[in-house]
Amino acid sequence: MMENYIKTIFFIAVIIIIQIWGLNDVRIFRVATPYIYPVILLFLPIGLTKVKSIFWAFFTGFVIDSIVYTPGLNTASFTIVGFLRPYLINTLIDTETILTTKTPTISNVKWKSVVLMMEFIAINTTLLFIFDSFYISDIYYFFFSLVSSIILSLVISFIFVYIYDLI
Amino acid sequence: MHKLFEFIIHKKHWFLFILLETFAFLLLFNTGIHRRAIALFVENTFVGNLNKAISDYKSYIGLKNENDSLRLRIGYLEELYMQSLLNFEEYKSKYKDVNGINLNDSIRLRYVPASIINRNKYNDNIYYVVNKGSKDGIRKDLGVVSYSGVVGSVMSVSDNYSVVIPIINPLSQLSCRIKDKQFFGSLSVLSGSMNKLKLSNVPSYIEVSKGDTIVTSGYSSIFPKGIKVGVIDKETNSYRVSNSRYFKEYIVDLFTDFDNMAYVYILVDKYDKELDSINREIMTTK
Repeated sequence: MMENYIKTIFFIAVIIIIQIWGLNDVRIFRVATPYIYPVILLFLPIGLTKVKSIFWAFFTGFVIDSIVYTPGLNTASFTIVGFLRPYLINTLIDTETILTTKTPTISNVKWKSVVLMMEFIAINTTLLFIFDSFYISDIYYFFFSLVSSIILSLVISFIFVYIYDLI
Repeated sequence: MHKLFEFIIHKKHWFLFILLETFAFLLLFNTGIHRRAIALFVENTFVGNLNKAISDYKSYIGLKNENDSLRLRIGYLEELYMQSLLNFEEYKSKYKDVNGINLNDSIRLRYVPASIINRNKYNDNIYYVVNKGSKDGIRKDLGVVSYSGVVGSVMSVSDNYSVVIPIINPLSQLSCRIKDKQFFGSLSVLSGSMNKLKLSNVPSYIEVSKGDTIVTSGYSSIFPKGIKVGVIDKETNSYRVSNSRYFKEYIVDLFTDFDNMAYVYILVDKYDKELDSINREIMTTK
């Protein structure tokens, strides 16, 4: 049990660090920037209360914003994802037949974990793009950049979830 | 109170979410000129719309007062209009006759606006109750008009209310004449029908056609002459013979819409009391 906590805290810390000092400055082909930190919500128990889920999301977003100096940007978008997490889990996972202390990772909920990951990343990245400018000058570039960022984030996040399951 | 606490506790994640999200947006909109400009724009739009909604609501709420003041204004203007009409008539007669009439006598009508608060019907007799009474200077036997024509007269008065007997009440009668024609007839309810009035005692030699306007004759202390009543619709089949003279009857379409009437004006005559006392004197002499 204690090991699990340490593993979760470790992974959350690693993902935040990688996001801040590694991926935030990445701009592949000047288009795509990966935002992998929504995957943190997969490392938390399925039965996590709504209040705790919101707090975790808010805290993560706030830490990232404080360090990269984008006040409110990640906090605003990720708090919404944290708020939606219990509802998204309930639509995919039957919480009565699965132990709610388990995490919604691949080893526990199989493909549903990937769907959840897609939902978290897609919602968070879309909100980030909107909150960043509140204005779309080139709609094609906006969608191209958004979709490529989501795909890139999904690929990197999948690797982290896979490693999380292996350890 | 207990239910309120239960509701707050049950929905605490919503409150927490709104609180934290508001905090995040405050941070977000306080950084960068672009975002600040957007925040200002949103704020201005929101506040502008809110102000507009509030002012719309306030003006809607104030409609009653505005309506009341407009009615007072209409009453005042009607009063002025009638006064100028009377002045004109009196001037005409003054310069025609050597015995001129004192013009001060003609400026004598006051229009008091009143709301109809009840419509009573007893055995086909209709009465209206209005919200003005003796405290407002209303007395028995004063004339009542709407903005379109004659309504009736005051039948009884209490401190704050008056009962109006309309001309569509079978008990009521009104002396009228056809505009621009020198004869006088009597307006009363056509027997056996509601809301239909007849103008009787019209001499057969008078040429009357459909659409002719009927106005008050001024042969009573209730109404001054010239107030619109209605228009001639058609001739009835009945007639009356008196002293070998032949009198016709005509059905009249009224100007006042008695079904949708909400406000009326009571005509207060400055010399009403004086006229009343003279009439009473005549009656006692008889």
